[in-house]
Amino acid sequence: MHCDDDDLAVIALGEPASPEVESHLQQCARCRSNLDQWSAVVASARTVSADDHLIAPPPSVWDAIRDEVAPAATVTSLDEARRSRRPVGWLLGAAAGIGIVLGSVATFGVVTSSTEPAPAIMAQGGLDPLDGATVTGTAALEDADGEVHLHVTVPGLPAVEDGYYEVWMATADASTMVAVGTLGPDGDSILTLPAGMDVADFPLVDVSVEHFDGDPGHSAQSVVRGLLEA
Amino acid sequence: MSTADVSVRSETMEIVEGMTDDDAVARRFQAGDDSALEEAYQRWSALVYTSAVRAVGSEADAADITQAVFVSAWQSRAGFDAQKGSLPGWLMTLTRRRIADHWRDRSRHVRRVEAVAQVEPEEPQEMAADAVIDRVVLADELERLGDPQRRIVELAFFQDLTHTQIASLLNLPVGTVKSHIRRSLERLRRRLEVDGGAL
Repeated sequence: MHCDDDDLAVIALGEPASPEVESHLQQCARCRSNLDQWSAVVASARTVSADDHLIAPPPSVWDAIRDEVAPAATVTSLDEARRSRRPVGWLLGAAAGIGIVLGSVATFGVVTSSTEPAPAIMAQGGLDPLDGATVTGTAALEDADGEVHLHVTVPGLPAVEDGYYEVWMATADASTMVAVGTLGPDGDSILTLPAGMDVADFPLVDVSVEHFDGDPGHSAQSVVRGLLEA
Repeated sequence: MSTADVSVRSETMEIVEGMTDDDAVARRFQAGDDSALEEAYQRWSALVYTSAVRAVGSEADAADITQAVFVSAWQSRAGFDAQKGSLPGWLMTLTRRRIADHWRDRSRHVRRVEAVAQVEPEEPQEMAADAVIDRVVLADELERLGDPQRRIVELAFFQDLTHTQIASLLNLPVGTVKSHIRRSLERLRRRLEVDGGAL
């Protein structure tokens, strides 16, 4: 027979336990665990002060979020885009998605693509080692007949136990990162970027170690990083 | 009442029981409905922002963290499973990570500027951040308690009244007060389990 949970609740508040309850608690893990958890809640709740009451963020925050997600929200999410790999969608959208900075180069690429099959390099840069890594690499943004590709090469990456390398494109201050695909075991991947992605907003290329943990965010373990320059 | 009425009503009840408003927003969010992003922001941005303000101590940095949390939540929503966890719980996981990144970037910056090996300040700050998030989450859940639970819990937590004193003050049966206390503690415990820092 367990203690009445209502009794345990008031004991968690600091009221004295009766001798019967006290002796039951000595032997019953279930009741002791309930009491411990509720006591922890009480202890934590008693530290709540007026400063902890919720305050809304300034309105500019929502405006910035809306601006940032607008292209992806109206086309497809970047993750969905990456998975579905529908070439027709990319062809239609890629020209519109190319950033202001790179616009003229891209147009040139499209115009000359009938006679010049090699992809036109829109921007490129070296990837420098981070966090104790020793490898280096390169990244290039290519216009391949209307599709925008990110070609990443990082030779000599060690194999990751229970994981893989993910390629990210990020804003210059690395405050916002978008996963654009994985880097294969040979350290060379050509990743098709989603239509509607304004590549000019994401000049930073980052390669991170990720694990099969269901966590969609960046692991904060980057191996190389570098800026794309037109 | 006809049989048809009864079956319609019980179907409606099932839907209401199985799914709160929060769950419905979470499902639409996961499905990529962009109005759900705005709704999620209206519901939980204050929780994210307040936790960030309290953890990093700067309103400007907290605004950046809030922006990054919602943008990354939206962009990586394919990785969120509404069946497995709550949307606010996931947002708080992202918030904790951004707060940790903030301190990591700062400590890296400090190391670079001073070019001297520093004692790692990360651990205590991250632990403090978890306690801060717990407090903000609890403050939020306390505000969501309806009366009489809220009044009872306030008297018990902050005025240190015993349950019998509360019962006579509010003119409620002692048993009722005790069971309100138990239910409130359980509710706060579950909320901390989902959204709190101590995982």
